[in-house]
Amino acid sequence: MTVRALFLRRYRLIHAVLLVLALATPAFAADYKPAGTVKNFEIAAERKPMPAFTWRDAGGSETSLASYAGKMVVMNFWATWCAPCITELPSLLRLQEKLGSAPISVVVLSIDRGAEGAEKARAMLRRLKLDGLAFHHDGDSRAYKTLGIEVMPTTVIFDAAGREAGRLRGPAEWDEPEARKLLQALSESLKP
Amino acid sequence: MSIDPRHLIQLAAIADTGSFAEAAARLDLAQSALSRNIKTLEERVGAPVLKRGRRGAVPTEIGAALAQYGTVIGAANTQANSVMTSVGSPRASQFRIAATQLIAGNFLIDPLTQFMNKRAEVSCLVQSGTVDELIEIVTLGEADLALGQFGALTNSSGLHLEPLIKDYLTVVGRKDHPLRGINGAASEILARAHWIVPRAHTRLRWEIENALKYIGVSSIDITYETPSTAVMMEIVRKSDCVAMVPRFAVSPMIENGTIVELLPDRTVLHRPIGILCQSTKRKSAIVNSFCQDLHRFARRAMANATGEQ
Repeated sequence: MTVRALFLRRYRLIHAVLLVLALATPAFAADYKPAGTVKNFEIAAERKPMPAFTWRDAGGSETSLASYAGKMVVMNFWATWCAPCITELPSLLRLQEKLGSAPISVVVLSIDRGAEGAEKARAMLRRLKLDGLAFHHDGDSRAYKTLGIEVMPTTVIFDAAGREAGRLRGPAEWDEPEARKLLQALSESLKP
Repeated sequence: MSIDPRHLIQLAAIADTGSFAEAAARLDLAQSALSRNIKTLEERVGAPVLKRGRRGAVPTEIGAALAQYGTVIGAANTQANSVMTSVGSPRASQFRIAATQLIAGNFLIDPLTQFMNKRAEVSCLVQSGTVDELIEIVTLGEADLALGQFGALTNSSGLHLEPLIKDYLTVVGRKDHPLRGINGAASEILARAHWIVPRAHTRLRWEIENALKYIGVSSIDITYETPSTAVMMEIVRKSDCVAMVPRFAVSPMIENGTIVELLPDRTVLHRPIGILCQSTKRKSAIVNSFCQDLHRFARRAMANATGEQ
């Protein structure tokens, strides 16, 4: 085994341990039913590879789920014109803070159109003191359309292999215990 | 002043754990917030409820009595939540609104945020689309109501329109545009102007063509077509091109003087912003309550805009 392979193996092991610690409650994948504000979360019946889609990160570079390989991704679609989305954002920041170094990434993706929309969305995050959430932009709705999003807000969760684990149409309190139980259940039941 | 039952639950958690830090973790609350709440409780009771020492927090005599009530309230709260989770319809307190992005961002966002703050149990979904898409969404029952500039839409085809805000189409040009203040011969001058228009076969384009005919302009010189009002205004702002747009969409630009209305006394086509819903379907209590809030909000907005009291 090469040094790099050994390093990667150890790295993955550490991440797995961190995930369990971050969501430290017993495993209950099969009979799990979402509750609380995530009770309407629709768990994907079958994990399928996702069609490729990209969006722009804070620096304006194209990015995709491949950049998050090995991590679960909580992808929230929001817009400056969507009142329930804005109400929901602070809970995503708190979730991100609570997750710490766990292998779960929170990606909030603004669908405000074009460069003007991006500036408006950035300004709103600053004004609401949500700068802790990295800015991501789907200004031409490529990700939105590829994932077949119909209503706002919608949060799609991808497993560590980039496959959809499920989605929630509507807002939630993402840092409440029930939401964290959901993440744990998904991480247990949807291992690649 | 009454005691907040949540503070009693929090006191019970401290009494149980003997520690602010552990109680805060159990309640999923910041320790600073917990300390603040206990201070409020002590102010309301008029006496200390906890003795803070090196070994942690111990309830005083009155604190112990109140903590017992906190335990009872906490248990009842847990039971009530479990009943709600098991029997409650998952979408009983959810409603769906569709709106054009312009209306969602400039009009809907404030009343909807206020409504959600007032009715914490209500969850809302928002869809955006063009006016044609909104009509389809409501017709198919995919939204409880839609907000948009529905213009001359009649209350037919099973749809009902409640007007909220007066709006009309207006002709705009850049600040200091040479055509500013044109009068009687407007139709001939406008026919010679360079126009930025929405794409063909859209509802707005159709309405603009009708409005131009109404003021006697039978054909125009089209310089550029775009579906985006923002792009239209960007070109208008930087050139001598003119455009016909909904007044509501460009109000902030007119008010800050970036663009001007070329025919300020000619409101050529009224197209009110309204609530569209199915005429045969009875509104739920939540939707009804939200519509009442929208009407109140619109009346205030109109009064502010016209300087009425």
